[in-house]
Amino acid sequence: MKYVIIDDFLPQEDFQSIKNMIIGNPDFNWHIHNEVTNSDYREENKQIDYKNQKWNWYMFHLFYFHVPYSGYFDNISKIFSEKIYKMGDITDFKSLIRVKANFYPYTSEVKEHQRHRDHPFSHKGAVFSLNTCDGFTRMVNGDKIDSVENRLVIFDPSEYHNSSTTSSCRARFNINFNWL
Amino acid sequence: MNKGSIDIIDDFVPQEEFATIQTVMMGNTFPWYWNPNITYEDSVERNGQFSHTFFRENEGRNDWYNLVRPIMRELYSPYKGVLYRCKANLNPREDKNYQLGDYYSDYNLTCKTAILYINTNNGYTKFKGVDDVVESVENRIVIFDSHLKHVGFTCTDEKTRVLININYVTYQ
Repeated sequence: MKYVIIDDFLPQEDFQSIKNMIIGNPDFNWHIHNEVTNSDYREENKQIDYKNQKWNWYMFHLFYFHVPYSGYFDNISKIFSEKIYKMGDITDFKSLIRVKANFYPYTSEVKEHQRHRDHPFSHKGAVFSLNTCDGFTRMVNGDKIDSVENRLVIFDPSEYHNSSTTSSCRARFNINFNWL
Repeated sequence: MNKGSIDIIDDFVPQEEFATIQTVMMGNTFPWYWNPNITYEDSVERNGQFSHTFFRENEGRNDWYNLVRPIMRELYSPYKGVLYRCKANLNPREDKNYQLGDYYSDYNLTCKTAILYINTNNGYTKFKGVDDVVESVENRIVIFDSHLKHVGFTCTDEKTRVLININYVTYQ
């Protein structure tokens, strides 16, 4: 599927509420993952030993994975359900698979993580940006989707894509949705 | 090793117990909390820090406190101890060894500060007026009077610099 970008996705009040809950909340728990992805993807003419790159790590917060994993999931559900779940053909929403927040750390120059697929079967997903920075999501066709706060990009995450670090902010914060 | 009133002890926690602490804290089940209010005027890129408070005065211990209990046992021995605060910090790797804020002292109380390094990296701790630095070596602890001003420096050679900062007193 061709990706869809929706700017100013949430009403400003809802956006600030979600942003404060995740970025401005000292009680919001994050967990480290020492590799951003462990993918089987091999790029031609590009032999990067991702595993040993010191920038190849991130923090995550799992809201939902088949079942709720976080006390904060209700807030996410309340704010996003009316929007994502009921957008008709664009989202074609039937059942949620996973929702997680990501923290990709600052690097002095933007580093692209390894290309990967979230799941091997066709489904839909979205990346919702919580802050504006020079990090991005690169789609299967090579297009770069900039991180712009309150922007949602909907795509098929079973197609190869990748995230990146940021060199313009302390971190790149976003929320990643997957659904059938 | 002793540098005046600064004691440095390597292999502080018995290896098996330290390995448990390190594995859990460096793993993906351990929760970290982002504090965006730690700011540096010279570089917005370094604002914020991950931390985890195991114990704080007047609040008590959290559910993860048992993980660090062996550290307190070693720290207080052969006396008894009273804990004021036990907090872990996680600082992301940087391209240079940046100073993490200004020199500061943890408490104006008569108490001790101990810093236990959870992973080995080229970040370090520096004390005001002392030329030598304390390198971040896993299972190394540095113990000093809490009024001594000190500051941490980020690492460049590992993904993160992780340590536990403890404030306490001992009595017989």
